[in-house]
Amino acid sequence: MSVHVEVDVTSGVPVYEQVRTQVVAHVAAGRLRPGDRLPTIRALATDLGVAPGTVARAFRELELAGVVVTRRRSGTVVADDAAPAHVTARDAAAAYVRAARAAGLTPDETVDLVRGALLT
Amino acid sequence: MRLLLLPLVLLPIAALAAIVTTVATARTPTGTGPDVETSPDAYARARRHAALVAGLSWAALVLVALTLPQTIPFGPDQGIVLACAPAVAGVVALLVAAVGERTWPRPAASVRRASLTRRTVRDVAPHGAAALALAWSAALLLVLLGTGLTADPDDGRSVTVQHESSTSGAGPYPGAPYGVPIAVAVVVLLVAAAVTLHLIASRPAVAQVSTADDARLRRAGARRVLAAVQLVVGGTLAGVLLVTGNSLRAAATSGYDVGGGWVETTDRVLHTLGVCGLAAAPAVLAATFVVTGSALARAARETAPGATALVRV
Repeated sequence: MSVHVEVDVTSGVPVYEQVRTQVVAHVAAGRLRPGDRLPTIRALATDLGVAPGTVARAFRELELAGVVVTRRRSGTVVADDAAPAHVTARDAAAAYVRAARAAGLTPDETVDLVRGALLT
Repeated sequence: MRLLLLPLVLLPIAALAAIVTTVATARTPTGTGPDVETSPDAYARARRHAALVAGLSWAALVLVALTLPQTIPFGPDQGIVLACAPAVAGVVALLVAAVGERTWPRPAASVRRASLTRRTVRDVAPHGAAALALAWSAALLLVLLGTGLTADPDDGRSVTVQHESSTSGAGPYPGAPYGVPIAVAVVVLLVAAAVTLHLIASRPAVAQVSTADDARLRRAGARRVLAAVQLVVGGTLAGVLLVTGNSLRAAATSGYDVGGGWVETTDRVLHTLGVCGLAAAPAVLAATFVVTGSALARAARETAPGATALVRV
């Protein structure tokens, strides 16, 4: 299964932040594993129809957070120590998303519920 | 010299057939196959765009291959330009294809999607087609190296055979004066092919179309490019083999009058090599035609809506 990022250029959230959070989410979910190669900045920017600087900023933030590393030969890859979330938490998250979708919740409402749970 | 014209006549015919195949198959009725993730209309538009780019590219190939030989003035270098004409036509076709790849529409919707999987030329270029194009190129360069080393050192355009008591020669023979320009033209063609394949891999993803469908369109584009490259290189190889075989066969036999009659001596090895060259030329040409036809048909078949199951190569 191919891993995607989806951005909304009209959203109030900057595009680079949307890319960053989705890459982090894919790593946490185990869909992107350590050593997986990400597209080049230019290729991803071309596919998303955004400026290369936007993707470059997302990759820079990811690199600062230790999620990805950029190597001269292999380009940007998922860092070796960027481990996915704990397997139990990951399974619980997947089950929660399935339940939220079944209940007809939007993605924002689903995340709001998690944020609410974290406040308790 | 007339033998050189054979591939030049056959190449446009093959290319014309290719255009007809591409255009005819591009008109396959579009449907709503389950493989089209978001918008069958977007996929149909992308498929038409790909067919248009391929059609224009092949039309350029035919046009240049037909007109270039007619513009060459009669003279000692006529054969050299004629031998390079297919490769020149191929380069022009690839230039058109490259420009076409730059015309794919960029994402314009507010919500945009991209795969996080790295896409390279290796991913989009069918391995078999690439291997065949490289194999024809390697064979051509090897034959040119061999003929360059064995050509008459004085003119490089003929081959001379020393018999026991006589010498015989024949031409035209693709020595360095022919071989170097042909080799340069083929190398330029291969570089142009690599650049075009890179453009196919790096063009914007088709909006509202799944990654799998987008990959199918890229693979079809790469297959069409490689089909043209192998046709041009294979056609040139066939022409070189034809000329080489003809000259070797003619030079292998020497005849002279000893006073009491005509005596002929034949170098059997060279004669056999010449016959092999003459036999291999039409075989190579036929193979390139078959491969071109099947590659173009396959490219159209693979991108037909609902053809996902066929593409897992």
